[in-house]
Amino acid sequence: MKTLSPEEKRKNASALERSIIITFMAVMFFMALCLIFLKRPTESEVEKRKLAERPVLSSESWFSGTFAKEFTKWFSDTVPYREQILSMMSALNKKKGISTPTFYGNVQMVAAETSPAVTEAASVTSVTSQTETDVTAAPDETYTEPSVTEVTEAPAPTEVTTTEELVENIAEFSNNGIIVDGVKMYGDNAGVMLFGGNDPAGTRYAQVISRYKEILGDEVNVYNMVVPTSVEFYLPHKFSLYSVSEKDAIQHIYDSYTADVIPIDAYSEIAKHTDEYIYLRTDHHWSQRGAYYAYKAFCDALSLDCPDIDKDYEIKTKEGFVGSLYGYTNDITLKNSPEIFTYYMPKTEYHTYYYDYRSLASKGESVLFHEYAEGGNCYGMFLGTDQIHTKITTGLDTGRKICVFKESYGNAFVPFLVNNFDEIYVIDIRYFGTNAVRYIRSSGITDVLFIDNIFAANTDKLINDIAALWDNTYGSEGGKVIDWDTLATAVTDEYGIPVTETVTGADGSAVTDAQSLPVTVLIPETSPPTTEASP
Amino acid sequence: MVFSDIFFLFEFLPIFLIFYFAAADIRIKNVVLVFFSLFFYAWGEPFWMVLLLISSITDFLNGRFITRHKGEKKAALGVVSSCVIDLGILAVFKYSGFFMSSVNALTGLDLPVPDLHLPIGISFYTFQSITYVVDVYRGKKAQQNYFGYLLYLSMFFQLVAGPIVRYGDVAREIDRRDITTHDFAEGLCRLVYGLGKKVLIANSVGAVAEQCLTFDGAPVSVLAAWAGVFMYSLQIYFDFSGYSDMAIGMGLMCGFHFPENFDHPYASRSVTEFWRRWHISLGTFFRDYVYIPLGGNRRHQMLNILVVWFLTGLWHGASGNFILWGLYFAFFLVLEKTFLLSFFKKIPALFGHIYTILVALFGWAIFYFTDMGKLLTCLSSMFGGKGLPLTDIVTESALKGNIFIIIIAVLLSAPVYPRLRSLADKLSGNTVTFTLYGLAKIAFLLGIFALSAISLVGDTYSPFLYFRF
Repeated sequence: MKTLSPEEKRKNASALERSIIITFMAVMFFMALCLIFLKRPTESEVEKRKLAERPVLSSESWFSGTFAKEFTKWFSDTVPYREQILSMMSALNKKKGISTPTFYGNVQMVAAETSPAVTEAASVTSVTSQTETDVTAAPDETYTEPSVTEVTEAPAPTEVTTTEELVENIAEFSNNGIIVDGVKMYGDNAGVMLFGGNDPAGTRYAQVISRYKEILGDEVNVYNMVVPTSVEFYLPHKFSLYSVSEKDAIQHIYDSYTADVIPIDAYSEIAKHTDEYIYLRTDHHWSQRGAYYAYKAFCDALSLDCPDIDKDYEIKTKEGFVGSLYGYTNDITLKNSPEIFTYYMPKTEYHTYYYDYRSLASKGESVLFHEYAEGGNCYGMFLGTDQIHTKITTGLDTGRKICVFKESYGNAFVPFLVNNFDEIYVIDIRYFGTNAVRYIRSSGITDVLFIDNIFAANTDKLINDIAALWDNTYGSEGGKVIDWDTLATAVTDEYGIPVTETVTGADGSAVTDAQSLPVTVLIPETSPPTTEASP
Repeated sequence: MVFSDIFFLFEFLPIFLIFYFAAADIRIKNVVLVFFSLFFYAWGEPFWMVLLLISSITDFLNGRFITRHKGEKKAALGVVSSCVIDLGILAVFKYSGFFMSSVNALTGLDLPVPDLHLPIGISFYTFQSITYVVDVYRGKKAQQNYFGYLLYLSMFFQLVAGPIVRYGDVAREIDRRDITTHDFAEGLCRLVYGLGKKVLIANSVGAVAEQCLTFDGAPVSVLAAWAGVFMYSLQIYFDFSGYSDMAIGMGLMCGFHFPENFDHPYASRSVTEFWRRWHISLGTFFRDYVYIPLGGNRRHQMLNILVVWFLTGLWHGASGNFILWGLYFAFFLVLEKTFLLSFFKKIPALFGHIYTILVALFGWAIFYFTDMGKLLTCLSSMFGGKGLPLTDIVTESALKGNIFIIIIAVLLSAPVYPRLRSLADKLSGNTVTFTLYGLAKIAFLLGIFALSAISLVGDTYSPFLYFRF
């Protein structure tokens, strides 16, 4: 090949320069048009949040600089094809180095005994919950018609925009970050959320539950089950300094009751089955199979009949489940390791009714398993959502009615109870808007179960939520902190007397008091229609 | 607005280019440039833009005053009044809070500490104003047209983060400049290259640095302390030089030839050389407008060095650690001037490299920590103080997870890229190899551009940090 003359070289070089200019200008202007004209997303499903909104231009917003700031934010936050670009980003991140355990969040060494992180965690979160505005907003007290019992395809809860749900700030949890890569479960990639541990919170949790037992007295059994999470069983040894022993934290709670609460040792039963698919690999929840073993421990403790998980249930699966840990980390490893989500439907007959979690207005009868849940929302299958109050009737004649106080770990657990109780009431500790103690009494509940995962049971905000439920007045603020001293007297005054349905709030002398409110509104229909076909 | 932003890259810049190149002659191009620059500035600083305008008007008038009284003693008045006003504004907005709290700390008084927001780019354009009046005083022709002067001061390329372009360097190009295909293409490549440095390298190593250097008690391990300082050194270089590359690149695209601002400083063999290659426009500013007027190496040189480096430190931020950082370098510069440089000439070059990198590394530690206690903790941790473990899994994982980026960063800190380019130019001697070279170059640049854009979108990833237990 001939070498080029300087003249030819110059020509070539300028041809290349023109090509570069044309290429880049074409790309830039094409992108400019795309960014202007393509539809912009408003929500991010992976991140579970609303994207930034386009600000309104006014002279004030302009001169304060907020317009420019928010506009820039909106512009880059809502780029068309955002989700696809984020996937590319998460693939790109893996190419920056060698695959290795990847840590997300502020991971600290917590397991060493003198670690400052532990004591710090204890002091940081003791502040009261910032009550979400939705809870404080007065529920519609003018509510009158207890909506007639149309059987609807239920609240369609998972379709509610997830971003608007009232949820807990993970920073307030006893969470110590997440590890992905380098953690395997059942032979496949997994993420685990590291446990930060917080014994003082555990002590408070035990005390709060003990208070319920004290208030409810001998005629109601109070059980407490604190559930370990996946990190306890699947964290490789080399990371052990980064997660506190959940076993010890649970034991600490079980040792700290001040009343006759019956602890349920789910830990030992679960620990026997760690080679089975008992936790979700890509999500912070357990699988329903894991919940089953907790149920088995519950049955053993109460001497109840416990069906066989592999024989007595209708077993169904959903493919392609990628859970919350992917959303938190945007780690491609998790996205590329989807799970098969398995659920176990009881074959016995039962009816499930849903109620507004604040007003307890009936939302009608619906299914217990919301089988339309897909993809990342599969766990929403159970009960549909947390922001709902649920009641299940079974037609059994055991004489026992159970009320379950739960966070979302309880959702997968509740369906098993249809085998053993006449009625099952499900209260989500974060959202239930009514006085729980009165509710329990007026519903004739015989057994109360507090089921919480150990993160929740070590989290001040959630403990406050549980505590607040017993002196909730109708329309009160959820999550307020209890004054222990005044409570001691208040309890006997207020709850010592059995409440009957005839009490109305007409006397007006103590309007803010729970007693003065019309109880009829508080109580869901006790005899739901049974005419419709079972779900 | 910053350059590494989706809105800037894909709306502001293309729209600006359309208007700029649609403009028929240089006067209209200048109008377009000023208009877009003021919009650019107002976007981030809608109110304190007033300061930019005040400064530009006084300096423009003083420029004319100096010209009118050329050769007279009066001319110096123009320089003085501009310096007083410009530095006064800088002092009030940047240093008054620091000054008052220092006074309070020293005297035990409880005087009110002003809490003024630092207007964007004020440190840069103030210095540019000074170069204008001084250059005019020294004989450069003053701008006859206010608009031309405003253009010089406000050009959005260098307005917010330099380089500090001296009036003398661009005076001619304000009124007369040719925009060639060659320059435009070069500028474009420079822009993309700088974007990649900032977004792909600086942001990645910066995340590691932040993870390692954010601590309450002490860094988690000896490795974490070293890794943190090392990654921060890379971050600050790639961030700043990437930004300068983008500024220089955009300037070229519009026909301006700005001086270089970085020349692979980490490849230096002495601190003296390091400062000739790091933030060159600032170093030469202090040399030509402070050090030499003070007497340079002819009169009380040591004092001059001390003053210059005190000011250099202070310029970087209103906090004690920056002053310390400046004086720290003054110390090594004096050392080198007295004997170290001649000593280094006698030993292999490698030692000079290692020494320079170490001095820079510890310098960045001082620069990073505004909290003196934390600085000391970090330094002692680097040498195993407090019985820290040697390594920890979290830091190891962060380093391994970015290892390719780190290797690329280290290589690019040395003059590898210019050498590769000249090698490629040499090899592409015939039509076939040249075509291959051309395609590879376009693909390379497009790759950087695409990955940077993806990363910019990816940076907005902020999962709702909430879990529904």
